[in-house]
Amino acid sequence: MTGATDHGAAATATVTPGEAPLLELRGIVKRFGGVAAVDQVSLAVAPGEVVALVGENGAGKSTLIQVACGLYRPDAGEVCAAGRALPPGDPRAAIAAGIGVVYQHFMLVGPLPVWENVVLGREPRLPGALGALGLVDRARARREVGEAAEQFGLQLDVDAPVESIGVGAQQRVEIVKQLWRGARVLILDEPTAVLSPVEADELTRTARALASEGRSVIFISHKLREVFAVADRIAVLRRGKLVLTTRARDTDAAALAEAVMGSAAAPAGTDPATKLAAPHSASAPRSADSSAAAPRLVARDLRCASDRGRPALRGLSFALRAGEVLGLAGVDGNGQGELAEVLTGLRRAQGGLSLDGAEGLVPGGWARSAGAARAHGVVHLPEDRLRRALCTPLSLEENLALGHDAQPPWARGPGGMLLDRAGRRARSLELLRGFDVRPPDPLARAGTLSGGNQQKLVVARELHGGSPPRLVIAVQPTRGLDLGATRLVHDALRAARDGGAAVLVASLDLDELRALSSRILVLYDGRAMGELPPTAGDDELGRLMLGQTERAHG
Amino acid sequence: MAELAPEAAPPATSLRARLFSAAREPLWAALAAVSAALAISFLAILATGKDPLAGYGHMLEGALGGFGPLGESALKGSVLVLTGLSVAVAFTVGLFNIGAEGQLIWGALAAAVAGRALRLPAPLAVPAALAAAALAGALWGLIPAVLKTARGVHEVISTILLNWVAIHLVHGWLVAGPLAVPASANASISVAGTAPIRAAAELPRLLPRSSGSRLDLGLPIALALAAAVWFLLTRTRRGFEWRATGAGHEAAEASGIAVARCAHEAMALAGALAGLAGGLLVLGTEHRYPGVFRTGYGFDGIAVALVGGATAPGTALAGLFFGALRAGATRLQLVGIHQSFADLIQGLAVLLVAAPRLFAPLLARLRGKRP
Repeated sequence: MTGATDHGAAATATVTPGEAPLLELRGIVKRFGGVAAVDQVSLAVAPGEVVALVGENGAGKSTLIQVACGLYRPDAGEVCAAGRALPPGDPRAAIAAGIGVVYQHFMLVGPLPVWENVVLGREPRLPGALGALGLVDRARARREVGEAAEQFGLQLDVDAPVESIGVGAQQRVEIVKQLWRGARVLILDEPTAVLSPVEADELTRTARALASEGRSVIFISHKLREVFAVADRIAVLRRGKLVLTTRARDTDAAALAEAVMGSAAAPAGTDPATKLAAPHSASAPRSADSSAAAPRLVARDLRCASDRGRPALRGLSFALRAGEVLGLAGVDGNGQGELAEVLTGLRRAQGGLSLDGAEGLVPGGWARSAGAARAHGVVHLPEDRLRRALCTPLSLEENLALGHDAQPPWARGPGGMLLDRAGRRARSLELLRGFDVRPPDPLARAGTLSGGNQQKLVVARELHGGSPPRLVIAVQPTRGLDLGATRLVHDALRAARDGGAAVLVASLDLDELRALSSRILVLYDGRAMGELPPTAGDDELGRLMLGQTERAHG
Repeated sequence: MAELAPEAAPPATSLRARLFSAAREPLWAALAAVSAALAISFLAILATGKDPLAGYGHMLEGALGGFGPLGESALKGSVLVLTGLSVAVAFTVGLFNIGAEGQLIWGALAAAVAGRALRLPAPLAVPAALAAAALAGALWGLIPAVLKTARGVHEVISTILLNWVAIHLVHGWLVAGPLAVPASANASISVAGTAPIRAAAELPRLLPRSSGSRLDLGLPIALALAAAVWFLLTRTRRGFEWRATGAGHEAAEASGIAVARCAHEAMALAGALAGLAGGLLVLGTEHRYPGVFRTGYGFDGIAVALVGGATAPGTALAGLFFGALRAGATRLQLVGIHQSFADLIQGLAVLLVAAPRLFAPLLARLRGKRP
């Protein structure tokens, strides 16, 4: 079986005749335990070609990449580079054959400068005896890194410590590292998950430029829009099988979404999140006159410092009504994270903050501690789920109890002093099934779940674990999630809104903000740059995100 | 289930978290480690030219051979159960309590002082002296917790240092100076130390003197406390909040748990348990704070908690086992084997229990690469 497919003809390999593919995977099978994470996948990438690899979390994309770069030894099949079969499970051979991977989580040493990070492990030696002693030719290394960055049009300050540059620049360091080491096939593992829209566009151009000078790029992504922008060909993995390979121009978003999710994709109306939300929404329907009511949350001249003590919010004011989703746009690091922490009681701030008239920042106010904020119905989908939302060594049911462990059905006895183990189990099973957390095993450890399922767990707990929330703070709620999980999270947020909650969503994904919000507030340097309707275009939003006011342009 | 993710990033686990991966393995893993430790020590004794079989035989008899040995095992075991629980409870909130020894010393001193000073009938004197021991240990245990939450001082450093503070304050000054019995008043006793406690404060023996067993109320107290700790940690909301704090304090904090308060409470309880261990020693066997009092029970508590997987039942079992080992070890000398071989067994058991946990991520990676 080669290139197993739902779409017969479209799946035939479309390597241009005469050119040996720079990377070819032939019939790759990789099992973990009894499960085939990758099952009979064949894929070839020609020089000058960008191939997008698409699939849900757990579809086998990362496993396939690990096989390609020699980290995993496949159970069957072989990896060929430029026509030669590579020894299986040998990462050095893969590197030598020009296969370079840029992982989602960067492998960089923060305090070291950019150029040292690039050459780390293969530092050029000084000529002669000094080199034999292991002394590094620092001048040459620095120069070569600078030249490599320039050659590929990647802007980098080679002397800056890596921890001092932005995420997008760090990614460029990783790319330069691979290119400097002679990568001819560049594999980018969900490269845009951490980037702002502007940076993502830049990366798309970089990928095209690399292809145009004869290299190959494999671009892994969840986001269909950017897949179409960057790829010549698209390969779809579902449950370890290659279900579709097609030229990008021969398909459209709908066909691709179906290939990714399979025919099992449920119609939106029957989504578990909406079903669970039904009781709440009945009591407080989303009303057209919600704009007339007093705002639920009013922030006046909010100021706070970042972890490093620099001003993060510099006088931010906004209002948010019940039954409304306010989108928060901005380049990462312009105060979104700090704002979320202030609103959830995790960070001290000055200014005014009232929730249904209750002042939050005064001593004893609801925003003075996380416990008080929760007691006032503020729930939180934090950006860093693994640290801020989950106790990874604890079980799923214990994680579901976090935040409302004092209320029934999670607790019993006087003052809720005892754990209600039976009640907790029953409610957990309900939530795990309702939000399609896989596996729905209440005793599994949260750390064993995939990213998408971890977020489903957090959403289930925050939005449905206790009494209906009054204020929902969601930061990057679908970052790194596949299409199915993304839709589930979006539906749950909409259901919370319809249930009468005020919802604040911060995201780097403008499409996400447009899809959810009734207004989009743009944050720049800790201040509100402006407010736009969800119909606003990328240009308009992007200008505000970069701190450019209308006046500067008009 | 493909969803169970080769793609999920493994959660970052600290060395400490890996060491105490509570109850991840069943009981047999600890038993296997102990058996292997016994086997290796057997070979080590053989290599020194002694007869390990005879040695183990004497050890077994010294630990379990009759009322007297059983009583000794229980005495030592109950102290180790408490110091082990002290380490296990602290670990619940993610703190590594190396300071059980210091907490034990203060508890022992408080019991000796209270047992001497309080003029109460026996049913009140013993609980009062034990309460004093628990309180003293709790206060000493609270210091590193407050240093940690208020100033970020690492508890491993502070508890180790506080051990030395306790040793020098108590042994070098209080017991040798202000609290020492004037030599003239008690010339018959050559060893220095505090004045003996009142008879009413002595821990009641459970068996008649004729049985030859020194078994006292310490064993039931230790086991009851182990059961109570188990209930607290697994059945109450407070225990859940402690565990959440230890499993991920940022997530616990975001969920509204007062993580600093949890750390204070758990370290106070840890200190109280170690202090009670000191109280048992003074009220049960020493009947005073002796001038030379190097117990090592506090440090052995770390081994007990490790082998016991930091759960209350596991720690209780491990404490009783190591108590028996200590009791039996004195008999090793009868066949010319040095007593320190018991320490070797204990150390090997810890190593064998801890090693797989430390290397688990490495093993998992190797398995992933080369199935």
